[in-house]
Amino acid sequence: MLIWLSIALLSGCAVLGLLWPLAKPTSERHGRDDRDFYLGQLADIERDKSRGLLDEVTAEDAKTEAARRLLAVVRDDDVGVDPARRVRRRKLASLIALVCVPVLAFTLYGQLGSPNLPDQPISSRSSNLGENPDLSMMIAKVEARLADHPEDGMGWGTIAPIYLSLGRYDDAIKAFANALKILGESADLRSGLGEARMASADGIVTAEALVDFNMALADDPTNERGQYYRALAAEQDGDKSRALVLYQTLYASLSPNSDAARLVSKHLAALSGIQGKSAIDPNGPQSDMIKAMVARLDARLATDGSDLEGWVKLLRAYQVLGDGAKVKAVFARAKAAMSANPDGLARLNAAAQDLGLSNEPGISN
Amino acid sequence: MIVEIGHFALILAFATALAQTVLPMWGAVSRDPSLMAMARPSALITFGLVLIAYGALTMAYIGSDFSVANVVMNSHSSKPLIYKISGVWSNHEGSMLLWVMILVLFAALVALRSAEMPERLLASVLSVEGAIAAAFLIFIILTSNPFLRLTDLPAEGQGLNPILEDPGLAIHPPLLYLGYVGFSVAFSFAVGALIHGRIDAVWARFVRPWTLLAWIFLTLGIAMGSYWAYYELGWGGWWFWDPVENASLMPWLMGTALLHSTVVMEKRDALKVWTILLSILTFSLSLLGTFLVRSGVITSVHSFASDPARGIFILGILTFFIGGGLVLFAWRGPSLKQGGLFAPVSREGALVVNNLFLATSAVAVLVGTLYPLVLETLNGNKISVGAPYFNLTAVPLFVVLLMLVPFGQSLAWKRGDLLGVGQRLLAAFGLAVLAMIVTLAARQGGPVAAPLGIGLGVWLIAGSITDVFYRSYRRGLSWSSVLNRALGMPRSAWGTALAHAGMGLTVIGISATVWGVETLAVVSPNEALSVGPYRVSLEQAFKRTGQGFREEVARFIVMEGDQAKGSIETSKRIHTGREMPTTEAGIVTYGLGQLYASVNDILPDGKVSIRFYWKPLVTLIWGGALVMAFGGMLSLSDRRARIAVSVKARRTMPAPSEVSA
Amino acid sequence: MAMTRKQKRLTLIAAAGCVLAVATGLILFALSDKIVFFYTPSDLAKQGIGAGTRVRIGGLVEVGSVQRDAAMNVAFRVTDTEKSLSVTYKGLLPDLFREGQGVVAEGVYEGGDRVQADTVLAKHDENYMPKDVADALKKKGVWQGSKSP
Repeated sequence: MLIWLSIALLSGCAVLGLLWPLAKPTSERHGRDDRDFYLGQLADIERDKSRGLLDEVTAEDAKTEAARRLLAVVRDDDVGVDPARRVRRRKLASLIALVCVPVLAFTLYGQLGSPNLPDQPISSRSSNLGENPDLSMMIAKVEARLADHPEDGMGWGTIAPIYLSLGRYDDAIKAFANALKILGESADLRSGLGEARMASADGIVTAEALVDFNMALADDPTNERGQYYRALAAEQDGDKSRALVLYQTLYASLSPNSDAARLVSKHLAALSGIQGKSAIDPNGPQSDMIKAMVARLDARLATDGSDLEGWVKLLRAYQVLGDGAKVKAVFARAKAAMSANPDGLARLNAAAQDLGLSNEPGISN
Repeated sequence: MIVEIGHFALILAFATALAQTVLPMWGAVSRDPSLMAMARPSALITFGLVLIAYGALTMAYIGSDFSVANVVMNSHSSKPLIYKISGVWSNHEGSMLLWVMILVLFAALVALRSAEMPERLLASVLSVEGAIAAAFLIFIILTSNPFLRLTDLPAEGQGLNPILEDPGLAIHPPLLYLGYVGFSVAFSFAVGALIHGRIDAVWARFVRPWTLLAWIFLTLGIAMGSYWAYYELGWGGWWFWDPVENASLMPWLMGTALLHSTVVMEKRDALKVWTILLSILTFSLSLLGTFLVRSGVITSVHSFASDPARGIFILGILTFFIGGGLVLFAWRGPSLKQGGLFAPVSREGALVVNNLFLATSAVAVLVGTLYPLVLETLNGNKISVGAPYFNLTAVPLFVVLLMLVPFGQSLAWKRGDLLGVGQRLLAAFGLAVLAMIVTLAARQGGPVAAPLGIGLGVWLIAGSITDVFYRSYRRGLSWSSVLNRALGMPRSAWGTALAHAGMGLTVIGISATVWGVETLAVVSPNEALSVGPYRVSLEQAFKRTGQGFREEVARFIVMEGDQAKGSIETSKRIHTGREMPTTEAGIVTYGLGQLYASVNDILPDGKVSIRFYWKPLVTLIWGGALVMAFGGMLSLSDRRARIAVSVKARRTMPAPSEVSA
Repeated sequence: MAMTRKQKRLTLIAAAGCVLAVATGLILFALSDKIVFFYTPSDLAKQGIGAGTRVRIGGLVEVGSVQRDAAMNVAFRVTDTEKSLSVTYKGLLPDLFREGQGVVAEGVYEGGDRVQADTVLAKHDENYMPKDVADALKKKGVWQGSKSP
């Protein structure tokens, strides 16, 4: 409410300010005109002459010229105005200032503004940041320490998951990589690196990330994160049977009531036949993250449609989210974007087939 | 809430800018004093609103409000305060907002300093300013809105780019914009005059201080940018004929021409139509510069790429204002009362020559800047137009122009005496030739162009001194009264002399770069190298950490003969969190020259691969620009150049009949 | 000194004409002689450019191809993923010069696949790739554009 009051006040002041000159009675002569200028110039010449900066002849010349122009100005004086038209004109002008200005401003603001969002300066946000109110302070400290001791592998290993949770994916990738380089191979770090890569690729387990997960599993076959993402990769690739097997193996090793087990069981439920339902718990934290990533990818493709790989990713993502309508819509958009590129179109169709999209006539040729 | 008030203020400013465009212009056309009177408050209100918007965005930056997308993209809570503030304009959206804020600031200043101005002219001028502001405000609101919010807050911002955290880069854009945008006032005055259908010395007197102000800022902005490139890019170059640099040079050249032609108009009521055209062209080049930089259309070391929608929008604004201005000029220009003609050999004749050369060189730079774009659009060929092109086209024009400067400066108005001027300048000419011969003899070898350049610089400086001397010297006067006369000269005359001498200093600095010495070597600790007149020896290479970075430093001892003069440090710096190394050049100033060190690599065995320069007189390049700007400021402070006619002058003014008697 | 109005006008026009003619001549000459064309390595191979021509080439620095010696000579290969060129250069490389990254080099084409560069530019920051290079590589489908938020 306060925000509306404030902006109403602001527009009120602005409109009043605009209208101010109309409210004042008009005097005969407003302000100065060219006459005063030439009178001033004549005075200037006189002054320069008295200070000896101009000689007699030049000064006289200059004065004659200024006087001549002065006369010209006086001759070209204003013409009279019809008072009735003047009143009408002022009414119209007041109307413009009084109505058009606020209406235009409020309409545009209604379209673009977010009046209900409060300010969120970082100092007032500490409680929202979760467990640790001084997280950014802590990060700064660790970063400062790492600056002095870049060889501190534990430091990199500590900060990497924090970067990941903050959404600083590229920093997380670097930190995990540094930690691995210094501390040597470790399944946890390796799968963390894969997770960071996955996050940075908008939630898709890329080939690069998969390599990391496989390395993590080679090191420690029981690594849960590695197992989970390997299964997810299979699922995203459309290899449902393999995904099912991998999820089942993982599920067997988890304690039944853990969060992880619930997450995996959702995947299992989705894969083992309950079609049309979301493959991912629509309320789970994973889903939120993935949805945000997918939305970003979607937005990017809406502006730059030339990225074939991006389209395929997006198709897969919506497939995974179980949003059939979106899948169709995106497929149509992708085809439109690729229409000028027969090669891309062919690859797109192939990818769509892999995903098991219904092959409407006219698509596959 | 502050953020949203800022956003609303920005949108409201668009609405009031529209009102500022329409109502006063209507008043000016229908000669209604009340509507015309709306110009002043509306300009002030628009400025106030943009200021609120800008302040709100700055608050969001200072408080690291990551609910604002623009802050997330370009700031970080651990940035030092100063870079949070400068972060506002270090990105596209914020810098456009700064651009508009400076624009409306100029309009507000015109409104405040216009007590002496004819109302109709003021109303038209502020109306045009309002139109430009409205166009750029809607551009910001629709395509580059810095107030867009996020509901899903990230914990940290992404804008921690240490490369951009540099004091030079922080001050550079505001200075440059003050220059660019300042020329909008001249443009508005020109369009106002065209609509008015009347243009005379009054007009010139009002427009000159604004042109001068813009010119001063642009001069400083260009010098600043050049020095930044010199120390930051790490290879000691100070001008690259880069499109972004050209974008600021073109309005400077055109603006310099404008500055001189308004003088002719003010003093002699001539060159009117030409001055109007120059005003339009100067601001057009400013707009073009904004377009080139903002649309990302040009490849360059500075460019930050943007999306094409913005480019097309700015192109639309550009076409509207340049096209509109020129169409108006073509339509109304011929109906303006022509000014008088004058003798070719006279001060005003010389200023025409100045205009001719400056405008032509601006066109040469324009062609070189746009040609690659045109060619790529036409046939897809990609070319680069670099220093060789500009050295062959713009530089000869500059040289001829500068050779003529002392003549023009010494010629009298109306009827000049070329022979007399030649005699007076004989001493200056002798000095220039002497300087040439001495440098030629002292510096055996090197291109002949360099001593010629030194001679040219000395010629400019000596020419200015000659001018001051003959203005104050009369036969039979005692030296103290000559000095008094010199000190009593109008400040604008001093300004001219200083600005021209400053140009001379810059020319000397540029010419001397030819004698710069470059030494590339790999050295071990305590191994000595000779660089120009100095010897440097590697003291040690060591690691060091600073706030947010770690670096490998090479420290050298500088010796002159056997005398130690000091030390110089250069480093390879790696910023935390970004695996992006930067080279920090070490610069030490000795006299007017600089020793410049740039480390290439620090090898594991303690050896250092390094590049050294000795750049004699190099500081004169920027020092000269400072002197030029100072000359401009002196001229601006001249009572007679100001808008107001002083109270005292008005009180003592004689009646016109007395004068013509 | 007493010139008529017409004479004054003519003098002015003649002076302006001379300066403009000279300037136009200079510009035309400079544009035909002093500009440098941009090529990708495959362009250079295809178009049969003569040895000794000044060229500007762009592409990615081939991974593993950079060789330096003690005298600060550098050799590296620039590729557009189809063809590649061998570039030699003496002096400091830009900070952002790295294997696998975009680069523009200007210098003399020495025939074959050799270019002797006198200027090497790397990309300016993380988001900036020389436009020439980006366009050329985009056509080949390598570069995916700057990362969007």
